[in-house]
Amino acid sequence: MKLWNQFSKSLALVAVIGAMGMTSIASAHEADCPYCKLKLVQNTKELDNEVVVKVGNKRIEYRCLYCVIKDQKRYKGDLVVYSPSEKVGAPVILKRTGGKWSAPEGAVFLNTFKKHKDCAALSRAFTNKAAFDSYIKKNPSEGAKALTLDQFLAEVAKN
Amino acid sequence: MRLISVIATGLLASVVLAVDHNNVDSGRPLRFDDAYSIAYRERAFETGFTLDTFRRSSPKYGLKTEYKYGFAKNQDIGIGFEPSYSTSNRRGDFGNVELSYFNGLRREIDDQPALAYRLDVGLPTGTGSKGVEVRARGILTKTVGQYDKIHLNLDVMTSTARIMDERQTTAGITVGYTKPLGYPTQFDRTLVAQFSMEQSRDRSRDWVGSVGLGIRQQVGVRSVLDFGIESDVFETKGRAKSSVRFAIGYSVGF
Amino acid sequence: MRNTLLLFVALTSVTMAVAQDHGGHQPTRSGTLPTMPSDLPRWISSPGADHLFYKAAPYNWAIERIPPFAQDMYGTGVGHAMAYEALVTGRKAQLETKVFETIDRVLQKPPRIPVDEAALSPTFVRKYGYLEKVFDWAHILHFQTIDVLTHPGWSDAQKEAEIERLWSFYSAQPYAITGLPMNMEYLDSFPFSGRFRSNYPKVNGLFWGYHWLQTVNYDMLFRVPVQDQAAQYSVLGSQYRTTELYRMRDFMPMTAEMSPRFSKRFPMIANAFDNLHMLHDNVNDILAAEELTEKQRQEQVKIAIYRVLSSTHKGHEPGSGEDVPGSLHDHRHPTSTPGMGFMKGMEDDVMYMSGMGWMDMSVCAHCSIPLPDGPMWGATVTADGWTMLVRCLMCARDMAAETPGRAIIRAATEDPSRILVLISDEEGILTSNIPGVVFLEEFGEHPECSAWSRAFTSKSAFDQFVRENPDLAQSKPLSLDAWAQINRGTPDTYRKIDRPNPYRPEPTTGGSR
Repeated sequence: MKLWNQFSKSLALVAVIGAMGMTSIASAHEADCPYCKLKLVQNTKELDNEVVVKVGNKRIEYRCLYCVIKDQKRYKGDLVVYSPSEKVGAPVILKRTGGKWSAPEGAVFLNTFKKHKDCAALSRAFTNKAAFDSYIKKNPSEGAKALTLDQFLAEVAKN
Repeated sequence: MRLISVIATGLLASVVLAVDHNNVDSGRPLRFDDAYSIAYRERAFETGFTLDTFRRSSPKYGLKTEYKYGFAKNQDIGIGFEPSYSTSNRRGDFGNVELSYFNGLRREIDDQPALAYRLDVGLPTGTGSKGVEVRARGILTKTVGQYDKIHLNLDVMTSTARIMDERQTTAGITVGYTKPLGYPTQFDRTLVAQFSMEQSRDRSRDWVGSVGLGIRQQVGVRSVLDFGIESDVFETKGRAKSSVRFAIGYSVGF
Repeated sequence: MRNTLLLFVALTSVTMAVAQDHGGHQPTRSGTLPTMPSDLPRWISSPGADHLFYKAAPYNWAIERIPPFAQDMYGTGVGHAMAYEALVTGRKAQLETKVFETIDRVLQKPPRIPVDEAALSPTFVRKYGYLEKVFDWAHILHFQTIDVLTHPGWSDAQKEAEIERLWSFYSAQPYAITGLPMNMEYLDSFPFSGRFRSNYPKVNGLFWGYHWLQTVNYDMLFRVPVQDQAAQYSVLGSQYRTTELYRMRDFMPMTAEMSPRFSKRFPMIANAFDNLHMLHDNVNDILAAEELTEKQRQEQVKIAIYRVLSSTHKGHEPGSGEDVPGSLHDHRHPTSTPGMGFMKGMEDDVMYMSGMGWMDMSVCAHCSIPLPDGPMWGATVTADGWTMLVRCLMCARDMAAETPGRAIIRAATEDPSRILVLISDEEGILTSNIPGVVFLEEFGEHPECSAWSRAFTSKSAFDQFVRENPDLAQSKPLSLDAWAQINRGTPDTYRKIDRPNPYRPEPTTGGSR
């Protein structure tokens, strides 16, 4: 195949791109949360932040779990939500199957943000209550309470 | 019988202005023009059916067909035919062939009205027609209020034929009024109305006053349907004839 | 190979970082009003109405083949006319309320026939009739180019030749707007600039919303078979009415942003539309500037017209103006995009795009690998209001999959006359305009993706391609369903350009819940 010339040019361009003030970390395209319209918060070495919804052939990123629940009506099919947890690379996986939500046993949720600029930090999932307590210790938040999935859904629905 | 209303509207062809319900041309459906020519390089075709009713005679049916061409900016020329059929004598008439020239002198600028003039020449091709008919019309258009417009038409008509008991030169004045209907949610219909005074060709009569009302309805991107009704309402000498004229027409630009 | 790449990136980074310090000229907002040029064309003072008819042709009004699109386009004639009339009749205070509601109502329930803008803004036209001539003539070009593209029965070559003729027809009139790229930052740098969008953001949003429609449609139509055009408008029309009309943008949508393929083929037309839309913005700003007297407004509108007229730029060439950056005759354009003038903060091909952030237009929007040369290439993705060029179908699919909402993918096949149009629903389920479409996706290095990720109109075309490329001998044809379910995520070659928004440096903090 006559790919080498094309590839050489590509190589050079990638180099140029890398040099133009761009971040060196491959990350999702600059995008806003489909619900709150604020910029998505990227994962860090210490903490995952990207909430990913898998529906049909789409994989859509949200800023927080609250935004996902609020925006869920746009999707008719079953959802799988990869919600960042206290542990990097180990999301809490929520499912909406036939319209009914489910979460892994023991999972608890935080939902205390007042403004959406704080939603990524304060609307999250945890694998267990101990992890929740540990997170709150490091990130104090007024009125923080470990919610079950049903409580979390009810709380989001209230707002 | 000489047809009073035809004096005003019949012998000389109306022109087709830009085919848009807002742009008004004589005969479609009333007798007045606005002060705008059709667009440069526009061609327009217009046809319309007319029915003239009379108290003391049978109705007359007419079919006007006209072609216009915008040959320069603000100027157009046209040719028109108006064959007719009279039920009283059961005869058809090819009618006169009418040539027209329109010149838009200026658009409305600030408080100054738009001005135009047109010249029409009727060639004596119809049954019993004599001489060449010429009409000169001065036109003024001015917006009143937000969207409504008044259109003042001043006519002088003359004929090369000298006929006993007929005036060789007559005058006329028409005040037209247009009002778009449905603004600001609908944009396809215009109400047209007029008051007109025409000097009769017949020396035994004087000025004839008439009123008219009509609608221009856009039916396609470049076509307009129109419907109008006119009636003589008074004469300065003698009784009003109370003739009623119906017109329904279709115009298309291309 | 990846190590080689990273090393090369690292080595060149230093050089390029230095280059960035020498940014382009940045025109700042001038404090003094532009003065009347000595060579203002005489027609501006002509009292005639000077109406011009469109070029007589069999394709006229072919736009009506897509009724919702035609009607939305007809509705666009209403907005500016109503706003201008309000501005010149002392109803500025109602612009964001009553006038907005009226325009919005019309745009949501558009007329079924074109609207005579002059009839809607009689006061404005009496004052600024010369401006109406420029607008009308350019709007005719807008409509006729669309008509050509929606006309059935002509080949792409015939259509493109006719669009060239339309451009000549348009350019022959003195009201023609230049097809040269102009520096948008310069055109937006006058004392009154930005006034309208600041004072009347909702109405301005509607204006830019329908400028979006007027520009996004060209790639919907360009080289797309007429039978595949209407389906796309179900996506775009919905996006227009629900989102784009109400989007708060940083700058007006640019034609090359919204329809990159068409703009690449007809840069002069893309530039003319952008210059036209900028003239609209200039006029909005002039009319909104309270400090200007009526005489100054008249003068400034005439000067604004002069700036963009074709006659003003006679003898100048696209790409020229490096010696006069940020001025009237700055006709530079991004290297990859001749159909766009320089934008605020732009450096060659890198520009800030509303909704996308900083983008390099010379590379694939998904994998950041350069786009091949030539007017046609891999694919475009239209989603969430933007249209992006990508190198291959894999990039198109994965980019559409990570974007909320419906999407349109347009891609080349082995048959130049058959563009693949894939429409994605809200959940990424794709439908195709080519029933037997077959995909090749033999995943390898991204810089080569346009070679191993392709679409074919039939299995036999796929087989032939594989035969001609022995290193793909093991490849299996993929059906649409099978192919659509693949997702390879964000490529590791993707590089995001991380710079602040030049139009709105302060980050937004968002509202409450």
